[in-house]
Amino acid sequence: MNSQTIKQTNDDRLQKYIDAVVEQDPEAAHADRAQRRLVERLGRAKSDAGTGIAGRRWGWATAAVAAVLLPALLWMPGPGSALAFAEVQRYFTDFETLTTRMTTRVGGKAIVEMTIRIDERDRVRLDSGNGFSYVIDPNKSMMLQLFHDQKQALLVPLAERGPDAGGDGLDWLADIREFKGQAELLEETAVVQGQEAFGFRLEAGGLDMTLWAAESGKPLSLQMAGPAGLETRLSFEFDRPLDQEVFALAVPADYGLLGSDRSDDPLD
Amino acid sequence: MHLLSISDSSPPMTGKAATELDLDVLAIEHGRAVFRAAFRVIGDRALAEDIQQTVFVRLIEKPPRRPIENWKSYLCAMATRAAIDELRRSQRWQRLTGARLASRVSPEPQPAAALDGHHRAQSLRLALGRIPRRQAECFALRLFDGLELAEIAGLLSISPNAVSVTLNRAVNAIRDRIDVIESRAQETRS
Repeated sequence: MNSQTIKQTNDDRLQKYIDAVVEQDPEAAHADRAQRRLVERLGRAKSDAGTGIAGRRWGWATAAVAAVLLPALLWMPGPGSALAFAEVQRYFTDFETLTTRMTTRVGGKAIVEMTIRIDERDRVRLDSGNGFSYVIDPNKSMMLQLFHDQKQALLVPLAERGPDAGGDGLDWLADIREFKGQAELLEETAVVQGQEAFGFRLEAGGLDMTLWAAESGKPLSLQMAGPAGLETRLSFEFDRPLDQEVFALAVPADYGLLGSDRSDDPLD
Repeated sequence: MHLLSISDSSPPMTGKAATELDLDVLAIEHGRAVFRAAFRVIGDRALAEDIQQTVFVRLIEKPPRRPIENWKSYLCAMATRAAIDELRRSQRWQRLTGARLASRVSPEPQPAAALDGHHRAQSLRLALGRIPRRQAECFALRLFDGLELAEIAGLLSISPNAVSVTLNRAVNAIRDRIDVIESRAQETRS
């Protein structure tokens, strides 16, 4: 099969982009290496099919799709827990909405409580009690910060936050999504949100994490242990209907709008 | 391995046949094409290998229930779809987690370098991941892999006319995104 020209549009410029893709085709040596690995992989897959692995609780078929996301996990040693964790991880990218309640404690005392809501358009709403709220809209490249005590609002372009700004409360999500090590399936189960939950222990982002998931693979909660007795717990609720207003970038009527100058930031 | 030749009009595989015989032949005959189809969309050799393997493993688990007229096109369409899904997931993730993570995963092409061939390819993949999935499939199958409209229609179970309409929409959407990238590049240079 060869690439086609764009007869419909007669667009030479776009054709250059298509040609650039096709001209990047992998070299024969790379295709040969892929072919060798394919043969090896099929040998293992056929062997697994013959020994009934397809019937395992977490489902080999789903794991095959997850393999695209987390290929390294497929070749990890162990009794298949890595495959199961890949299934759990998939929830964190395929959701329509995700509502998370996060509590951080030091020595058992709660110091931060937040609610984070994310919708299918990747908009994020973070509420820290009655203190402040952030609304992040990557589609509009804007972030609205609301400081409830001061009744002030700050609307800033996302680009101004810089590449290492962080602070959007989603680092844990990135760590789980990027995790490519081995998640240890715990022997004991627990009851989380009224459901029997299976635990996975993993180390990511420099933190020890325990992720609890239902038998379906749906994540229920996450515990993260940090230094000096710092502990963060998150509970997850997937695909809960959310009011679109919570993601609006409009400044509330009774809030003043601060300039975009960082020196105006009341948290400084 | 059984080096038997199978034609593209061969009868559909059963699960048993897929695991014991035909799958090996299909892999030998079409493995490289499947790898290439995935790579054209995803632009990453390691991910393309994973997609290639996933396509064939899925044949073991879930053989097609209908006769396949052209195995090469069928398998390449599977790879294209999986690659588009992966492209959309990774780009969604980049948008979700912002520039910090995006810089560690797969950076967006910089406008100043957009006219370079490598960045042209990257820009096109970026645009491909941001248009509706069906449009992306039609675009990649037609313009990367050169399938005929009728063949795409059969693979996607839609009419050739619907393929044509969807393809036109895809071309327009991608051209708009390319225009934005090029105008940014122009601004950077001036």
